[in-house]
Amino acid sequence: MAFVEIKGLKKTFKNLVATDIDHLEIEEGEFVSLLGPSGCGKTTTLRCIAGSIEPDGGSIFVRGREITHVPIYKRKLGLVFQDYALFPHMTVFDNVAYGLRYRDISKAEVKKKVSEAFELVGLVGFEDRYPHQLSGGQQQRIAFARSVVYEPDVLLLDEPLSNLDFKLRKAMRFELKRMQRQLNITTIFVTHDQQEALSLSDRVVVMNEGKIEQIGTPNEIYENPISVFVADFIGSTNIIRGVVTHCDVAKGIYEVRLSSSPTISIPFKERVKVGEEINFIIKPEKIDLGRTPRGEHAVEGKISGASYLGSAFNYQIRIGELKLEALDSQVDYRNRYEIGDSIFLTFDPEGVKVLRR
Amino acid sequence: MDLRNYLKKRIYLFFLVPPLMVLTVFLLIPLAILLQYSFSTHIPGQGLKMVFTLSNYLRFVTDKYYLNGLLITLGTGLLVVIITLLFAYPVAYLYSKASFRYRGLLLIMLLSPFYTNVIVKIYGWMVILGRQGIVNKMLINYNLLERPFEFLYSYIGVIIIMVYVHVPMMTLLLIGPIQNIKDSWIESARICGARNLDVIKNIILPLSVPGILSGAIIVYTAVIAAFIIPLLVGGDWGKRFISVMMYTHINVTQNWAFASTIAVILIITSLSIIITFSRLVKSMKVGVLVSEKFNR
Repeated sequence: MAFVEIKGLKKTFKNLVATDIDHLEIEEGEFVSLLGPSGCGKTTTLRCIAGSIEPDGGSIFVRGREITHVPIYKRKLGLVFQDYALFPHMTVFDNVAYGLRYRDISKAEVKKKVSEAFELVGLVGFEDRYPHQLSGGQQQRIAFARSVVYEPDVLLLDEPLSNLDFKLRKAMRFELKRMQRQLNITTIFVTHDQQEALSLSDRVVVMNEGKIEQIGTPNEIYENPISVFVADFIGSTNIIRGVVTHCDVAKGIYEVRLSSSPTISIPFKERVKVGEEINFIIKPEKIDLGRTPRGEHAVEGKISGASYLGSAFNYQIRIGELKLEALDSQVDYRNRYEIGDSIFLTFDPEGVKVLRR
Repeated sequence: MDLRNYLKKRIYLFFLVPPLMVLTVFLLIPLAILLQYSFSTHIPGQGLKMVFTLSNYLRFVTDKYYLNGLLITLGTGLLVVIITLLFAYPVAYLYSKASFRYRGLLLIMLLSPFYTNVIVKIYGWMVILGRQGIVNKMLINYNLLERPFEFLYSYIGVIIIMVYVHVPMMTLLLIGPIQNIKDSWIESARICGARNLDVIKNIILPLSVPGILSGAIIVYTAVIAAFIIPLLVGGDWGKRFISVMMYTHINVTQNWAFASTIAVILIITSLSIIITFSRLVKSMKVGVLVSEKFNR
């Protein structure tokens, strides 16, 4: 049996399905993200595991022990909130030591464990301060220390990074991963930020309308999304819907009549039938741009928007009614395309995926 | 130019003038007169005689009757504050957890007693608590009592009505701090292993202290100064309240000098109790939390 197992977990709020998970297994020491837009049920799922929401049905196992109806204080879990939820009337030391009050250990042991936790989060010397005297990032570390000091079975993180500013958030991402590795603690991380999910997790669980849409490693999720929803949510990507009108198997080129504009040629590796209506996923970084056509199947378009990202150019291109996004990382600032320029696109077959749902 | 800047920066002083004037005319000057009276003497038939004597104070501290009165008054204040807290706290907690719709209803219920005069409220309670009142009738009907219990003209009656009068104020003062207690603090405590009682002891109560403190101080001062309630429903007991004694000295014996002495002593003792009490609470470091400073 897996370390954490969720079976048939269900919770509805006033006819609205919040969570409906058939099956989810998490291994010991694994870092798993629940990723999805707001209202997808990721937080409800986390709260069901934490015990602050009673599910309508299903069961949750941790270490082979069913905890579905175990009172919250007996679950041996750690939880970090988005707002850190540090107790404002206690020193940071007392905050971290709080969970140890309810474990049968000596005072000396408490002191030792707390100072180890302070070392882990790199805040030695801050013990006597109050939460309001710390910065957001420091409060976040203390919240982490408070949740791991009593060695819970599973650490639950409820969007802990989203209150931090961009730079700090990126730094804390590395920190979080380092601390999780060091403790080798099984972690469930809830987020709506796909970058966070991809960069931190061993596996990502993409959720939509309460249900699991796809489970996989960050690379699997990014490279092989199984549905339009996942592809759309995971990254900026082009999703094109159309009917296959012609295929040239020898060259690996298909002609597709788009619902929005004329027929274009798209290369890809997978087999499709003529007459089939499908979605194509084309990654922006897999589109090659040029002022002259490269190869006979180049598609002509017009630049309708351009933004300079420093390390790359992000272009918006129109082909008839169709809007595409392309990422040009071979930045030559003097040779950049301007809005209104005519341009030829060639698609890299490696960057084209077919999705039937 | 310098003068103008100087005045500009201190423009707020100008706005302080009216309240300071009101306070001076209606509080500081009367207090000074009160102090002066307390050192003067009363000659029956002639009234107040302005001399400087300590005889009033000597009379107060040597007469057990007055010292007991002071003790009873201060003790009653404490008792009423504690009972009022016990009633008001659950209501305030309920209010802060209630949905928006019920809050309006609760607030109307809390505020409605303020629209009624204290004397009307007292007479209302006299009807309820009287020998033929609904409480006695019910207790007799259910065979809990054989004959009517004397709620009125006793200490119990005074306590009941004082608690009733002060519960709404206490509740209103408690609501703010309790509302500031975030659910995530409670949930964090729970997941750390705290049971309900631990959560109340470690999180909810300490964070309610600012409200409890302000509520206790306001109710305490109000109870100590109250004389209508003990006068109307206290019976013989009521006469042992220091505020009632003061009232009798003014209205019956017309001894303004001694009444002033009682007033000065009451003001000094209650002020020192309040200051000691809030110092004590502050030294427990529960005041640090005050929300604005706290990051989100």
